[in-house]
Amino acid sequence: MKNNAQVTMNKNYWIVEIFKKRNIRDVFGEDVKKSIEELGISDIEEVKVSNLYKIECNTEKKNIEKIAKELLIDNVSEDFLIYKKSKTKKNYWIVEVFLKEGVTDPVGETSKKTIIESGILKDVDVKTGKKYYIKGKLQEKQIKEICKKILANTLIHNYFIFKKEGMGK
Amino acid sequence: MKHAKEIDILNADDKTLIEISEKNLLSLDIGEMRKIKEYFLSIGRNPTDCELECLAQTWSEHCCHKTFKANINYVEKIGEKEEKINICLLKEIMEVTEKLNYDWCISVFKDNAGIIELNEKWGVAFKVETHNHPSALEPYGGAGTGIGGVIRDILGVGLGAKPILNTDVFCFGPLDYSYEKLPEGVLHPRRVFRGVVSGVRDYGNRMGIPTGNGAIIFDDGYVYNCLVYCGTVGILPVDKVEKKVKDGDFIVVIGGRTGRDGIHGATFSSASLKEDIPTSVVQIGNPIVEKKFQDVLLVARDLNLYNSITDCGAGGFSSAIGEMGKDTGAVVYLDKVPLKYEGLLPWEIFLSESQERMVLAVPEKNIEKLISLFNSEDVEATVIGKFIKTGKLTVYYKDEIVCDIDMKFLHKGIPERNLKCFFEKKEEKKLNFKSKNLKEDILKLISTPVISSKEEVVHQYDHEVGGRTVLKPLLGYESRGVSDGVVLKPFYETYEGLVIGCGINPFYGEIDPYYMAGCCIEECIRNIVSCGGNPEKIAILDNFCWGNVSDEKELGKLVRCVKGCKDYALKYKVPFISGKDSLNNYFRGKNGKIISIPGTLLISGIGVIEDVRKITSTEFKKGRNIIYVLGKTFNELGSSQFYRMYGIKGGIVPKPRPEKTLNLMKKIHTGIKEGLIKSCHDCSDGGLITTINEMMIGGNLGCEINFLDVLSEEKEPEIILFSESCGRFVVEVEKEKINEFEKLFKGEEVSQIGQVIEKKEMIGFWGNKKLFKISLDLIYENWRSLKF
Repeated sequence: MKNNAQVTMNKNYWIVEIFKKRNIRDVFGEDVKKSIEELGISDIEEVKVSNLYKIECNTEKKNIEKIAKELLIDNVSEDFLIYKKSKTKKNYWIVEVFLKEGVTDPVGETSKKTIIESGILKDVDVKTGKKYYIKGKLQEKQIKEICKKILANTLIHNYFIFKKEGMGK
Repeated sequence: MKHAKEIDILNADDKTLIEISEKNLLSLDIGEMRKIKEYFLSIGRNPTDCELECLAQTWSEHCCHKTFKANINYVEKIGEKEEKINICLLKEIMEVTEKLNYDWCISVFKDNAGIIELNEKWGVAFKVETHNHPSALEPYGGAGTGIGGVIRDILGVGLGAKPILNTDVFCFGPLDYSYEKLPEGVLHPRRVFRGVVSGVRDYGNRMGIPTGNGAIIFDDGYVYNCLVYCGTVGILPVDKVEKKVKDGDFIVVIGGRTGRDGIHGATFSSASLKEDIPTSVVQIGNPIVEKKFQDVLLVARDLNLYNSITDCGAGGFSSAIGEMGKDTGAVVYLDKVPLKYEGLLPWEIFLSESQERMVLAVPEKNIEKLISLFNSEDVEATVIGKFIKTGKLTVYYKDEIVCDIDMKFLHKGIPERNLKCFFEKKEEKKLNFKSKNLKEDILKLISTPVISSKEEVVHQYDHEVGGRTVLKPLLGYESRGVSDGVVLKPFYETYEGLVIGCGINPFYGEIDPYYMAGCCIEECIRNIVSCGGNPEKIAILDNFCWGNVSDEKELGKLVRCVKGCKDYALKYKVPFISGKDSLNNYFRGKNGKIISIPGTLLISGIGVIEDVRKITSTEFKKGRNIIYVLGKTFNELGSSQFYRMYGIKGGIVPKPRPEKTLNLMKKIHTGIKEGLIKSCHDCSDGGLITTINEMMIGGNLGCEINFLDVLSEEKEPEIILFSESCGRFVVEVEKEKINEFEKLFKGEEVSQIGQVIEKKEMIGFWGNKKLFKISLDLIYENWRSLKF
């Protein structure tokens, strides 16, 4: 599966990825790891979770930086990355989960409102999602099972799998 | 027509009518479709899509309770005895309240919630809703919107009440259910569980409303359809209970915008779950929007800016406006409705179940003031039409009429239903199952999912916000103990209080739903009484969740249950003030096999407490205090947690004894008020032994008990320890007060059974023989063994 969602979007967008700083425990990730193990899939070394904000607008990167820094992150415990296209990561399977078109996204709506009220941008749309980094000996079939049973509810979510590096597209 | 679509039914035969109903997900049966055809024949035109949708929603099981209003031909055969009656379920329930005719029941069965009197100035409203289908599909969103919806019910009762407490009761499949056995498309119970708990937590906590009472049940029967009951309690001034739409009032929508979410929720929830479901039925909650309008709404209420209000729940505008304009008529302009995005068809706007919206009826003179007040708090308020005395529901989209139906036909036109069903039961037979090792069984029982500690869940909810919670759900040493109910002190200036409890036990229904109803009602009252509530001033709510009621056997069980509700509510003298039924909770697998849930009744109760300083809690308070059991134990282990643990079917199900228990409870109330009773806990799931275990855990104290001294029909350890007979309480009394205590309870079934000890262990005797000795640490460890 490829990152179709990003290809089909006509609008310009930036993605802000927010993750826990190195010394902060990623409780949510640990919880997902526990759930995967309950499925009967062992050999999971680590699961990390980031929040994604897809900010659809025409603007420069420095404005997005301002939004991330001032509005989206908790400066004490979180850090962020800004990019346009997700990259693969060595030794990790990556899964991105976004809400399907038409499903209400309250966090996205509130972010949009806040960005406009802060005066940084005038015309913007925000969609939120989650990004999972999964480290362990896994087959693609198992990753798909994890997506369907734990990470995404296919009724409201689309999910995209980025293969572990070195396994070919 | 440009915007609406005409649907040809005038020329349709029965087969086509059914096809139309199925194709458009209307869930209307052939009788109803014929009636609709008849109506449109009489006005000489075809309906539009919007009109059909509107009728389907108004006549859906969810909104109109067809089964509860139907005439049911019911045959009951118990052993050799056979009885035939005609019965209407709704009438049975309402008859209780009419017969009891209490003047403190201010508003019953007519508004969004029932209202009872708290004092001269204030009333208290209580409503419990279910949100089962949405929660099975998208647990987080479903449960969140469930709690959001019932909060809006309270905001929309009378002219608006202030929500002060949420309650929640869940039924799930076992958390360790095998993944292999789950069919495609069904979420695993553990996932449903986690999603539902976090959904309720996030919505309730963000609204700033404490979640203070609930229960969690696990059973194989809920694997395909979980049950999510959400309740809200609110207070409102007694002069704000009445509401009436006036001719000429503007229709104003406040709160969230309208999108495609939740379309067909009402008709969908009246149908069964299948393996393919459209995305559009899913609703996602946004508590921040609701919190904002909640605050400003109560300001507008106190300024008397509107005449009537209701929430937009199932069926959206169609339901809300159709209901409000029942006696007048309404004209609606759908193109004025604020939308989330473009591209919605007129009927979609009318039927959408987007969350966080409410509809007000506002007199013309207040309209400007109201809108600017809402806007000042950043809440959208938009005029979308007018209530006009036309007797019709007329809906425009731009310059086109997309719906024009007589209110009378909409609300009264539904054909009467005649159903038949039966209930059959063999005589209950006593079983005498012997325990091989009492100590092991006690520890095993306390670690079963239904009984074990739910602390991990309860701690996720904020039960303190608002600062009104006097008796909290977790209490005692390190907040380890569990409370029977929750006590609130709603006002800063006075010591008046409210107490809320609930009763649920679907397992008894396997043997007989009639006694299940009685036991649930009694459990609810017991819970309230053991907190210090007055048994003579309790109002209750009924929530039925049932399986496939088109099956005569399932419907028969429901009728039997309703009969139990009526008989026992009358005997305990508790009125029903509100209720809700959620039927058709069943799953249809690929092979067409239907799997119904166990018929489940939740009874929620609310009582008024005169002085919150005169209540008690469940945990043991002090060493050397004397322990009593009030009430008598019988060989009633049928469907008990002890039998379930061993997979034993059958036996005698507990039978409530109101003639004994009601009087006993009045005395307990006096005993608590006078400070004679130091702690009080009722016996329910898991029997006497579980009650005592919980009291020890909460108090971090041990006890010595002689089980032979417990008043019982049969002197067998298994019966005394594990029977779940109704009407029993364990109480703790100080040594110096036992004479006074025994005087008060003279003539009742009382047995002194032992004492509280400082040493952290439970020592059980049978006369002179020692039965077992278990350390409190071991009990606590086993009680906490369920992994969430």
